[in-house]
Amino acid sequence: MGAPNPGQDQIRSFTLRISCILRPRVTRAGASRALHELRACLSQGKAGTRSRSRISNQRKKTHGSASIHHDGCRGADRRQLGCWSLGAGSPAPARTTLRRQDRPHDKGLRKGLPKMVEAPKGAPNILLILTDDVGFGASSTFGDRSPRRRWTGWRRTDFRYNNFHTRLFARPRAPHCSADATITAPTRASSWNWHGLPRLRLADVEEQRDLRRNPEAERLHTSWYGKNHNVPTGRTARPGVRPVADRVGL
Amino acid sequence: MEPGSFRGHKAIEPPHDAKNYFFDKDMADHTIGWIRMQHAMAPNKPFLAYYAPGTAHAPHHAPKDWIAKFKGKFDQGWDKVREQTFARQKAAGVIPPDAKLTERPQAFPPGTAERRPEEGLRPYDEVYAAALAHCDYQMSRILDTIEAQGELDNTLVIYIQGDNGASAEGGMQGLLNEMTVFNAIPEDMKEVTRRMNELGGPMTFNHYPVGWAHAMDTPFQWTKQIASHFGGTRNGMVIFLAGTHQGQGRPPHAVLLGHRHHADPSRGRRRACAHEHPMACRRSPSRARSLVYTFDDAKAVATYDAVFRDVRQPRIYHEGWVAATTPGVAPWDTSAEVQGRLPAVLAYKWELYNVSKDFSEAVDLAAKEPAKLKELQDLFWTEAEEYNVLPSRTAGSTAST
Repeated sequence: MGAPNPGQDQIRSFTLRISCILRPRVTRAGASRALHELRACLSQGKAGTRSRSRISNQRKKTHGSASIHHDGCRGADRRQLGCWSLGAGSPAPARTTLRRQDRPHDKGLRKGLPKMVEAPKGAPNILLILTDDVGFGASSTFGDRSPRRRWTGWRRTDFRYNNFHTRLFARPRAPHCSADATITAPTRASSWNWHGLPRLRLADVEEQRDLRRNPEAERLHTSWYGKNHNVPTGRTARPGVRPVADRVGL
Repeated sequence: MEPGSFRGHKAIEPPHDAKNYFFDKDMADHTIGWIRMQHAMAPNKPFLAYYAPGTAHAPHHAPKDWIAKFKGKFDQGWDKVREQTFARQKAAGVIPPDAKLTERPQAFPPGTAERRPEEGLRPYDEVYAAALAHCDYQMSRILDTIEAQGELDNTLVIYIQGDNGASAEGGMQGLLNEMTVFNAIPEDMKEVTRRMNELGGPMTFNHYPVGWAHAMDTPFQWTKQIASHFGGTRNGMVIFLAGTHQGQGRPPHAVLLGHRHHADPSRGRRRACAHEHPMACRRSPSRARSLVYTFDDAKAVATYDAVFRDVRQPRIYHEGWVAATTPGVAPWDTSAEVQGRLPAVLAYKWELYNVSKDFSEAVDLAAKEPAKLKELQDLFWTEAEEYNVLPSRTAGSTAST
């Protein structure tokens, strides 16, 4: 043959790669890494430099685990991949025909996709209610006269806690639902801080961090309607009202 | 009450034109609509609905007919209300039989418990009770909805009568507009008296007097903003286990004894649902513990070394004892910080309570047990340092939330 045709080399290389994707076990990280490498090769004109034997050896080594060659073609349409590498004016790429049972989206590839997060079987619904500034003895459930229609004498098992403690201020509201829930679910947060003073900042960093994740927000349908103390300070004032705190330098 | 609200991250226009708008009702409507929607669209996926009403934070708003239901109910005065509440608590078994009704702290001015109807201050408490009852009705609507969907037996309900004690920044005369106290503006009694009939409506941002707050925190000392005493931090909580935990031989309406400080219901919820979260390993360590153990043993005490520390008004709990500082600034004294009247952190007077025997923190043992007090004080400073919450200064009264 005459001068080497880089387009032909690329075709051979990608054909080999296509054959490799039949390996079912891949990882997202591996796929991403390999795709990145592939694009880098294409941009530098280095694609197709690997020999068949080298790839075969690597296939043997990495049998059953993620490999950059397996993964290299995953993120793109395999039938188009060769065309990308050849560019305009190149001969048509060799097409690889996959048998139906070997098609990755039929079996192998599905294993590599992110799995939907689901609640465990039998997990109940949860209704959480947290009132505001109601003292221990304010409702009839705990001694006062304000009627609580559903909270006593209910036909279900109820546990009344008389040694449950919250914080002195608003922070107890936050741990019950994380910031994630307010983002992923319909959320209506009220702004009570009309006077624009800064909200309290307590120093318990440990629990502040703990708010960030809420498994229920992902596994269950989650909603939060009502008062919300996770609204950033800068957004609690009415639009156009500069917080008082800025003016007085607090 | 038409608060500025957000849907997701988007600020939405308050419902200026809505007649008889009540925030709690609006939120309940949204919750109900959402539960119905999710039940219709994906009935096999369980839901977590969080209903966080504005009640009973100021302002206390309720329909006029609800306010009318409580007319004259508290004419006996707020000390009498405390005594009656205390008696009902004992009769219902929600407090131990040997619990004592605490004395009012000396920092409360004389006449705290007087309603002073001659000055036109009658309805603050009645409006408050109406707002709480009206809010309770909204909760009932949500439960009715769940029942109508056939899901009540498959729903774990966590109901926290929180989120701290009743609030005492209302001063001796109550507030027509709560924002006045945060700006140290005394309200003109003539104007207050003239507008008493507007209480509970959209033109008032009302807040009740100190005496009523104290009565709502029966049988404890102090109120919201005071972390050192149970009046500020102890709340009633009810957990309904419908179906999921039945059949374990537990009597209904069990009152759970034992000390549960720093508890985080979300942990219990997670365990109760047998959830294992894939991101668990990335979570920061927390001292919060599951409450599931309480489902099986009503008298179970905390199974962990529960230490409750709070920097705003230092106190610590350890193995049945509480060491608490005496509040240096009352919640209604909002100008103390500006005027430089805050006591130094190290100058606090400490009190000591054996809460394993003294449910309400009624008997101060600081003079009798100085060694125990010293032990807890030392533990407080150790814990505060370890968890980066060393009090750098005394906190004054701030905006309430």
